[in-house]
Amino acid sequence: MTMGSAINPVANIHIKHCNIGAYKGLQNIELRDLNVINVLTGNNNSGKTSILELLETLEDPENIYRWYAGVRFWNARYRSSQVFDGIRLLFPIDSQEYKILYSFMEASGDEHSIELHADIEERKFSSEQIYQINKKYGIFPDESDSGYIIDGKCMNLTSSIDGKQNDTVTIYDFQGDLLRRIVEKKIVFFKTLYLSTVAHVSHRFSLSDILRDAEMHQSLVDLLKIFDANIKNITIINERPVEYGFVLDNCNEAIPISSFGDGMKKTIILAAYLLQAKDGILLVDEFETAIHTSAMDEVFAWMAEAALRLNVQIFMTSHSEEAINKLLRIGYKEYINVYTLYKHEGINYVRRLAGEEAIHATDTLRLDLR
Amino acid sequence: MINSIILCEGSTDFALLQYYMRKVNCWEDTKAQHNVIKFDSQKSRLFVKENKQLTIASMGGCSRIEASVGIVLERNFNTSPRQEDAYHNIVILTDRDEACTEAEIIASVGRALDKYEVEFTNLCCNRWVDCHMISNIGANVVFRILLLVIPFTTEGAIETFLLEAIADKDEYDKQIINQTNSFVEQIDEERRYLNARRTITKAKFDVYFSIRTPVEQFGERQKILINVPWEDYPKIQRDFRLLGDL
Repeated sequence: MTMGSAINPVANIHIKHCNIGAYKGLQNIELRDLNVINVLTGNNNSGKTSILELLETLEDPENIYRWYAGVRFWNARYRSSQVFDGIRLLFPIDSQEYKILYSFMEASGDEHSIELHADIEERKFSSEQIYQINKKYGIFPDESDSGYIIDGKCMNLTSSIDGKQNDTVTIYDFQGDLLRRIVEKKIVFFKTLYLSTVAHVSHRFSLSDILRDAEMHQSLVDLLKIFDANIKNITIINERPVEYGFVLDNCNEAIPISSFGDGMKKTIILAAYLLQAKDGILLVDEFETAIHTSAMDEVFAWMAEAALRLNVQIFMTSHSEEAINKLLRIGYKEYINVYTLYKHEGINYVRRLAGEEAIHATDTLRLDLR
Repeated sequence: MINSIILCEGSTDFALLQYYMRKVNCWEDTKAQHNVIKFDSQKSRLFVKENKQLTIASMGGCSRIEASVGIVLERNFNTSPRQEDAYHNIVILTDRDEACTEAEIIASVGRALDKYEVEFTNLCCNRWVDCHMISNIGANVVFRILLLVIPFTTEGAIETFLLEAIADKDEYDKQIINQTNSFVEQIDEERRYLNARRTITKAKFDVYFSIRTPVEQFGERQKILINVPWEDYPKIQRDFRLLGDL
């Protein structure tokens, strides 16, 4: 696979160090000497996905809607959940102060600190006020509910970057389900993309970037042959809604990707996100999900090579000892670090092992990297 | 869970320690052998007793002490906050002879400890030494080390005891042992090869067993070792007394 650019792993490392002061259940965690590919592992509830959520805000920490992307209910990431409680739960629950704090160092050596503060106050609202506020967010409650005074809460959120405060945004506890879509997208630090554990199941992904890039397209087709040797091409089957399919050697018509297995879909969506994350940061939750052990070597090697050539820094979580061990042995260990997260007696710990050290820890020290 | 490890020199010590710790100190073998530390092509095995674990591992010679202790300490350095995979008791069992003096053994272990900035007082033989170190994640790891250095005497060597025990049980074997011992004493008149007490003792042991078990030596030797009443051997009882602390 060539995919254009030569490898320059130093350029891939957009952030070198990251310190998390406070976010959800995480406190005082340091991810130091980051690499091109950074595996976050550890027990359930050790904070792996929370770190991905936090890093996602790097794209535009000024934008409150970026922080809202970290809101999750029932282990799924809904954009349509109630806003107030979702954002409130981003803040450490055992602290009097509503404050999220993290800092990072860029490859250039520049350091930045990001904070998000919240003040919550209780107020009384008339039903007309509630109507107007919800209307602003695209919710139209029953107009006959008028003339009432209702107790409510509002959360005044202020983000700051390097000590410079941004405008305050106010969220209400009666705020409706839907948020206005992010209209103005800007990149403050780095483009960041988050790929959830189940994204490949939704079928809602775009392959337009891949189809426009001939080299990437061919490279991906070659990779997908490990799943089905008859695959010749990826094509668009329908324009609206857009649907993609595979052209096969042994079939006259293109078969929808949705008809194929989860392993193939996961591989495709990983490729699509890698390309979209070019020159930025890709955050992958449980990277090995749906990929069979027999395909792991090829898929992981392809992913590592693509990341290097597309100048993407990857952070990914995993519970799988097998997947982590395979990743370390695909020939790119110098570009991989493993960070094991622990929470013990209320304190967060991180153990960092570079690729070679991680292999040694498994093979000689007989330690479980998770 | 308390984790201990005994590092011994070679396969004979390894076999002996297994049987001794099981027979005398009631450790039990376990089927869960997947996370047992191992040095190169040497042997190791995990045992359990109550809520404790014990690894017995051979190092492959006294020249491997520093490297082997280093690996054990490296595991402690990389342990998790609960420290369930750290070694809380580290025993180094070795003979003191011409090849490996007590001072050299202490120096080797000392170098390994220094590499991980382990704090300890008065590293010496045949006494538990309390240690602590700061791990990779900044936690304090507390453990202790025992350098069990057994002075080598021909009379007291494991190999000598074993040959005597076999000779005591069977007259025919006794004749073979007497003749093989004489052979070894005489064959290298210039002492070009058998030039130390330990090598002479080992040669007597190996020559007898090359006759007794010419094929599949290790398996046969294991069977013989099983039937030796180690608990009746006073020297071993004396030398291994501290292993009862594990």
